[in-house]
Amino acid sequence: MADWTKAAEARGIELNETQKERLDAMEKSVTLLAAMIDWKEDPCQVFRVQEDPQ
Amino acid sequence: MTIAEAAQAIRSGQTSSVELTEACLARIERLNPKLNAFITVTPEIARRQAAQADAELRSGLDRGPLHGIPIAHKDLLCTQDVRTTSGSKIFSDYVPNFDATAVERLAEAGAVMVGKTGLHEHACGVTCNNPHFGPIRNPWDSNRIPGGSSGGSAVAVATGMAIAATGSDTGGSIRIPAHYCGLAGFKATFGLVSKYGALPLAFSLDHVGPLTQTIYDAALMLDVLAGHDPKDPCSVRRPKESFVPAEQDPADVLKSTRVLLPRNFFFETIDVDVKRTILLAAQNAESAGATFVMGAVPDVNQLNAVANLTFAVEAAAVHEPYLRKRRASYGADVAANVDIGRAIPATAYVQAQRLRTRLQQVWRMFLDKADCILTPVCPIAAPPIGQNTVDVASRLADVRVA
Repeated sequence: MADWTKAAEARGIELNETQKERLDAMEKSVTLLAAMIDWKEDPCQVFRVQEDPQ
Repeated sequence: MTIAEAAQAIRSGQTSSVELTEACLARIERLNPKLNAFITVTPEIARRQAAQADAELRSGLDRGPLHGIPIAHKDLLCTQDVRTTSGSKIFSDYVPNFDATAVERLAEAGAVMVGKTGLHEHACGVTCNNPHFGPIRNPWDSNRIPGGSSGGSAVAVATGMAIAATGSDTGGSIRIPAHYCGLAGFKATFGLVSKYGALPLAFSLDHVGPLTQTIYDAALMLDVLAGHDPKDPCSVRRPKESFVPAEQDPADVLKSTRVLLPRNFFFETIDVDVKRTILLAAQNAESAGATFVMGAVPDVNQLNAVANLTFAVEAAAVHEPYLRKRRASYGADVAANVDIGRAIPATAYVQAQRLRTRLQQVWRMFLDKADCILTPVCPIAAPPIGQNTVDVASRLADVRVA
């Protein structure tokens, strides 16, 4: 069982098998994608207002 | 009849707003019992607004192309003194005391509201198989879904129950019903159209936009909807511009357009008829002067992963308080989606937002290569109501993600 599912169950969130599969898939995707994050970048950039391209 | 045709017919005296409105109301009376596009019909408001539109035009006041045009609003846009349900049991008796900005702007442009259209519960799904108001049915085959979540709006426009309609799109909710019902649907850049007064689903992904019979009509409607709104914190300030092309001949528009046809993802698993339709459209556009290039798009699965996580967490943030108190008032599929969002750790949401920024950079660079990308909205045509899986090119897929 993946970490997110375990944590959800520990918090009393009841998930059926389909939900668990979807949650596990999300966890795997985000774990793999984390390689794309620039860890030297200030995380605060998430909240930076995007400049209007025009 | 399109917005452009109706606007011309009203001004030439061939018809009036009152006549168009009565025709739409008659169609609603005839077709809505079977197709279930509307949750609330507003004949008194429609007749009053239509009479006013005609009187204004007679007196020389012309508010533009939408003046006197009967339209419908998705029932998650707040309408003053008219109930706004979001297709849910939770809000089944909610009567707002204000209009959403989109509703207000269209009214100021002279549009006539014939009613509020049905949707997937809380706009959180694509089938419109609504447990509280009943399934909405595709007008081309009433045993099939219209797509969602703005399914009622799409059915209303496809059948002439309204000449145009508003919709909202978080993960396809304008585009998917447009695809399944054969319409034009437009999801504009985030912040261009105010979402003030639209009941939220996932606040950083929600968009309000038009569902119309033609792209030209969508541009006419977007001209009214777009523009900065201080009441919406996500609204952007940008110079007012018209989205209606100056050129009358489509060939003049397409002559200078560079279109990218993706080699990967969109055409890898797709129904043969849908593929044929898109390629025929490409051929027509090329004949009309567009330049086509084949190319690989960046990994769309990465986008989907980040979008699905963002959607699930934000929807949970909106609905968790209601779900705690009134779980039995939620449909099973919506409650299941919200529960998944509740189970995702906060750190994952923040990392997803960092990835989102990174992916935006990748796609911005890629989009410099062409003016537009031609893709199907969905790889399949409308599936039957109640069917959860579909066969896409001999592979089974979940209707919600196909």
